[in-house]
Amino acid sequence: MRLNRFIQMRLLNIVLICILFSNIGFAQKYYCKNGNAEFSSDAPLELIHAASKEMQGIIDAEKKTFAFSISTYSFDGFNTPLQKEHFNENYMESSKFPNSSFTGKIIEDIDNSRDGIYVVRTKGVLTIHGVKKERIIKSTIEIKGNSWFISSDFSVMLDDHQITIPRIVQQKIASEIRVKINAELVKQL
Amino acid sequence: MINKYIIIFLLILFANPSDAQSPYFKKYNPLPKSSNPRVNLVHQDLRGIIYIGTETGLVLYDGIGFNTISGSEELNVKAICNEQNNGLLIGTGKGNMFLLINDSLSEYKKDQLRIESPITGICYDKQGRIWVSTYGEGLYCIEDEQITKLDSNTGLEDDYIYTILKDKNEGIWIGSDAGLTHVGMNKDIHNSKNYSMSHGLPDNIVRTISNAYEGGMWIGMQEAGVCYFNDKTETFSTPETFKDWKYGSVNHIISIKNEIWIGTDKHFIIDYEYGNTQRFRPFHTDEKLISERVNQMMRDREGNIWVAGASDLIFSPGERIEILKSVQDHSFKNVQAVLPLKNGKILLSDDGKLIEITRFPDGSTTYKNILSNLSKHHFISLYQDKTGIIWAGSFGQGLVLIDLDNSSNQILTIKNGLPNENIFSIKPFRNTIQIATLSGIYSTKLLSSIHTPVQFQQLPKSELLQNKYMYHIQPVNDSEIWYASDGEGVIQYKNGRYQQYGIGNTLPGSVCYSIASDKSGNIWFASPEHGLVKFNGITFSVFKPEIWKENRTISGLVSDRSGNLIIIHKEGFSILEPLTQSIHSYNSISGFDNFDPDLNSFGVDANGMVWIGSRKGLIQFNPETDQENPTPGIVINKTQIFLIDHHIDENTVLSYDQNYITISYFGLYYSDPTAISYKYKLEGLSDNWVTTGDRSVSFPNLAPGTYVFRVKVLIDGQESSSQEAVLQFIIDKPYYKKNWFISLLLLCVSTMIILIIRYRDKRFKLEEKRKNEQVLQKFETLRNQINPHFLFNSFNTLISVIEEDKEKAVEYVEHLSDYFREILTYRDVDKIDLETELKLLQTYIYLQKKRYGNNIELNLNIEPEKLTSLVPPLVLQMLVENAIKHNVVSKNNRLIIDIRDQGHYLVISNNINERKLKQKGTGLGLQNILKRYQLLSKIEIKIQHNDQNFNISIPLLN
Repeated sequence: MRLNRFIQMRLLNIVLICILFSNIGFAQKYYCKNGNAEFSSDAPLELIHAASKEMQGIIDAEKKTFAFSISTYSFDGFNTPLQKEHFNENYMESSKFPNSSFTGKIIEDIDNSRDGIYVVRTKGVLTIHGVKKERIIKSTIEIKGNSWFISSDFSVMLDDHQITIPRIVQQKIASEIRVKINAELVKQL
Repeated sequence: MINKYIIIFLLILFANPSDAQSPYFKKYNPLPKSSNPRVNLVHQDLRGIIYIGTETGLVLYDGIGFNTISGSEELNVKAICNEQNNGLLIGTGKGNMFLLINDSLSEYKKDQLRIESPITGICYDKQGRIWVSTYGEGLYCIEDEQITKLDSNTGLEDDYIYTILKDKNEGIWIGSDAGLTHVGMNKDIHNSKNYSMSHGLPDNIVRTISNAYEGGMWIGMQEAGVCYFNDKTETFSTPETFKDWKYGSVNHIISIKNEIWIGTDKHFIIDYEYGNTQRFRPFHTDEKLISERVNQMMRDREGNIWVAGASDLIFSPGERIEILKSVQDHSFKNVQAVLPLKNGKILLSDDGKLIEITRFPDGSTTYKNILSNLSKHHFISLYQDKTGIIWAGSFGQGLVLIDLDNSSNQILTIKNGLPNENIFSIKPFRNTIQIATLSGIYSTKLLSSIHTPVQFQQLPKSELLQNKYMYHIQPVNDSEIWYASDGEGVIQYKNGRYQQYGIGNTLPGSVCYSIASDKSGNIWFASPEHGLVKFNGITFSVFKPEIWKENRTISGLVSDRSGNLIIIHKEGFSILEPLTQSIHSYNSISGFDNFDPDLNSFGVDANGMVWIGSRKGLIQFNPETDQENPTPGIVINKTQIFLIDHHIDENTVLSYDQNYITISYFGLYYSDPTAISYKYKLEGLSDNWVTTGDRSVSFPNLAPGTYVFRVKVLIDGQESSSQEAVLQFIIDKPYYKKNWFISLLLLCVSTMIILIIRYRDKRFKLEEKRKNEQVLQKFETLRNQINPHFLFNSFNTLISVIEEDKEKAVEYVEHLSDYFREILTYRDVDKIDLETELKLLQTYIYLQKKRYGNNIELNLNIEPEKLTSLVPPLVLQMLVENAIKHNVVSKNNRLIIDIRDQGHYLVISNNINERKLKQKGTGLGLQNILKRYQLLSKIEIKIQHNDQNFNISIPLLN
C-alpha cells in the first residue's frame, strides 16, 4: 500500500513536470518545499477536520502557470479512525481517485524580483473525486527572496464534485467544505 | 434638530429595497414544455425577429408564441450572429456552427471547422471575415474557404475567450483571462494588441465588452465590476461608484444614452446613470426568479430590454418607464394628483394624504406627510406657482395654499370666500391663477406670500364659463386659453373673445376631460363621446383610431418637452408623434394592467420626465431617450399553394393552375403585440388596401399575371412609418393561351383543312372515275348479255325446246325475259345482296343448262348469314359466263363450278378444260370486275389458277 502510494506520487510529480516544462526552456520554476492542506466541515452535529503535509506543487513564474496535487490518503487528524475510513472509502473513493489537484494559471501579474505580498486570483481546473471543475480561487503570495509563501482559503461544494453523502449522515457533514492551503515554494536554481 | 437628522439618516439606512423605483420586469417561459428553461441569450435579427438561445434549442418569438426551430432541440445555443442574407449564424456549447436561413437549419462548414470547445461569440468584420471566439481554443477567423486559428501557440494571450465584440469602427475586440485584446488590426488577422492590468485595466478577467453609447467601450470584469475604455486615448477609467465593487462578476452590459444596465452573476441588474444626475442602483423585480444570474441582455429596436436570466427570460419595457409602487411603509392605492416640484421632489395626493417624496441616487425613496393635521383631504389638482407656493385643490374640501419651506398653510373654503370647494384644475394665465370648479372658472392675482388674502373673481364677460362643471384649463400662450366642461363643450378664449365648441352633436363633443397642445400648434381634446379630437386652428376632426373611445377612455392629455402628445387612458398610456402620427403604447404588456388613472393626474418635471399617478402607483416616464419611435417590423414567413407549403420569391413563376395562394406574415411589435393589425393589397388584383387582424390571407382563383403583394403593420389601427413587406410573383398563362400553342394549333387546323380538301378532291375524282367505269360496265354487261352468240345460242335452244315440249318452251322464254328484265333492273345499282345475286345466277344457269344439259354443274356452299353481304350486281354471272367461254363443256368434259364463302371472300372455282378456239370478247369481263372492285373496296380480288383449276376470290362487301 505504502509503496503503491509512493509510486503514485512519483508518477504525479513526473506528470506535473511534464505538463509544466514540456515547452519551456529557461523558465523560473518554483517547487513546493512544504505543502500543507487542511479542510474542515462545519456540520450542525459534528466538526470534521483533517490535514495533510504532503501537498506537491510547481509554479512557473514566467508563464504564470501552476500545478498542485495532494494524495487523498495523506489526510490525517480525523476524530476517529472510523471517520478516516469513511472519508477514504465512502466519500472520496480514494482507491479510485487517489489524488486531488488544481492546475491552471495566475491572472494577476507578479513581480518576482521584488519582495512583497501579492493577492492574486488563480484560475484553473480543480479535480477532486475525479470530477473536474473550473474555479477561480483567490490566493496570497508572499515573496521573500527565493521563497514564495502561498496561502489560500476557499470552499468546495460537495455537489460540484459529485461527492454524495448518505442521508443519514447529512447532518454530520456540511455540503460545503472549507479548505486552507499553506505552502512554501523555493526557486529552482 | 439633531433628532430629525438621525431619523432621516435611519430612514435612509433602513429604506426597504422594494421601495426602490425600478423598471417593470415580466417573466416569460420560452420553452413551455420545460419547467426550468436554461436561457443563454436573446438576439434580434435584421428583420426584427427575436430569437432566444437556450441550452435546449433556438426559439423564435413573434410576439404571440415561442416556437423552437425544428432540428435545434439538441443544441446548446451559445452564440448568435446576423448573417448577411437575413440568416443567422449559430454557435453551440459543443463547438458546432449552424446556419439558419428561411427557418431551415444546416451545419455550417461541417467538414472544414473542427472546434471542440464551446463557442462564446461570432461576429463579422469589415472585410466580411467571420471571427469565432471559443472557450479553450482561442479564436477562429473564417475568410471564404480559409480558416485561420489564433491561439496561445500563435501569440494570442489566452485560449479561453469569454466575449467578442465588433466596435463602432468595425474593429474586433476580445475579452479573456489576459485582459482586453484588439485583434485583426489593420486588416491583418495576426495583428493584435493586448491591454491588461499593466495598461490600467482594473481586472485581467474581462467577461464582457460593450460599445458605449457615447463611443468607447464598457468593460465588465470578474472582480472589479465595470470600467470604461477610451479606444482613442487607449486609457481605462472607472467611475467612482464602481470602485469597491461588491456585486460579483459582470456578465453583460448594455449601454443606453447616459445610462448602462449591468447584468451580474448573482445580483440581477444594476443601473448606472451618468447624465446630469448620477445614479447607481440595483434593480428589483416583483417576479420570482429562480436565480438572480443574468447571462446576457438585449435591447430591441423598440427599446424593450430582454434579459437572459439563468433560468428565465425576462422582458422589460426598458429604461423609459419606472414604477414606484410604494414609499417606505406607504403603498400607493390611488394616486389622484401628481406635481413634480421645482426642487426635484414629487408631491402627490394618494388616498386622502398629501405626500412629498424625496428620491436618492441609489433609487431609494423616502416620503413626508404634508398637512398631516388635515384629515382625509382628497386633492385632485396641484400647482406650484412662481414663488414656490403650492396650490392644492380638493374635491369638496376647498383649496389649500402651502408653503413647504416653512410648513405653513392657508385653507380656503366657501366660508372665507372660495366660490366653490370642488377644484379640478389650477393653471396660470398671464399674471393670474385660474381655477376650474363645479361652478365655473375663477381667477385671482398672484400672491406675494402665503398669508396674503386671496380674492377669487369671475372673469370679465365670461358668461360662457359661469355656473358650469369645469374640468380642465389649458393655457396655450399669453393670448389663448382653453376650458373643458361637462355638458357645455369646450370654450376658447383668444384675443379677448370667447368661443364655444362642441354643443349639439358637434365636435369635440359636449363633455371634455382634458386638453393639450402639441408642437405643431394643434389642440387636442379628450372626449368620452368621440375619443381623441384634434383642432388644427380651423376645424375639428376625430383622430383615428376609434379605439380611444371604445376601450380606452382618455383621462388625461399632456405634451412632453419635445411636443409629443402623451395620452393617458384607462389601460395605460400612449405617445403620439403629431407629425408622423405614429403611436407607441404602454399597457398591460408593459405592466399596466389595472392602471385606471384619475382625471388629469400627471405632471412634467424640469428634466422632461412625465409623472403619472394611477392605481398601479406612481409612473415615471422618460420620453427623451435615444430611442426613436420604433417602426414595427413585418415579415412574410410562409407561402402556400392550395394550402400546401410552397416557397415563393420574386423569381417564382407559377403555372396557371397554381392559382390558390396563401401568404402568411407577422408583424413585430414586442411592446404590445395585441395592438397589431395589418393592411395589405395585391397589386394586379386590386389597388385597394384591405385592413385585417389575420396573420395570413388567401387569394383563390387568381388569373394569370404579375402580382405584387404588400403588407404593412398598423399599431392601434394607426399606420406608422412602418416598413412594408413585399412579395412579387407571376402566374403564367395556361399553355392554350401561349403564342407557341396558338401557332401550333393554327398550323394543325390549316393542315387538316388542306388534307380534307385534298381528300374531297380525291374522292370526287374517284367518284367520277367510278361513274365512268359504271357506265362502261353497264355498257359492257349489256353488250355481253345481248351479244349475238348468247342470243343465237338461246334461240337455238329455244327452237329445240319448242320442238320437244311446248310448255317447257314457254317456261324457257319466261326465264329468258326474266333474265333480261333483271339485267335492266340491276345494271344501275352499285351493289346488291348476295341472295339476289345468287337468284340472278340461278336464272342464268337455268338458261345455260337448257343448252348444255347436265354438262354444267353449279355447287353452292354458302353460310346463310353471308347472304346479306353485298357484291357488285351480275358479278357471279359474269364469272360463270367467263368459265363457260373459256372452257369446253361436253359430256366428257363437264364444267363444275363451285361457289363457297371463305371468310370475307366468295370463292368461285372451276375445273379447266380450255377451248382451242377462243370466243370473241373474252378477257374484258374479268378486267371489268377488277376495276369495279377497285372502286368499291380496298380489298383486292385474288386469282389463283393451275392446270386443273381456276380460282377467283372476290371480297364480300358490307
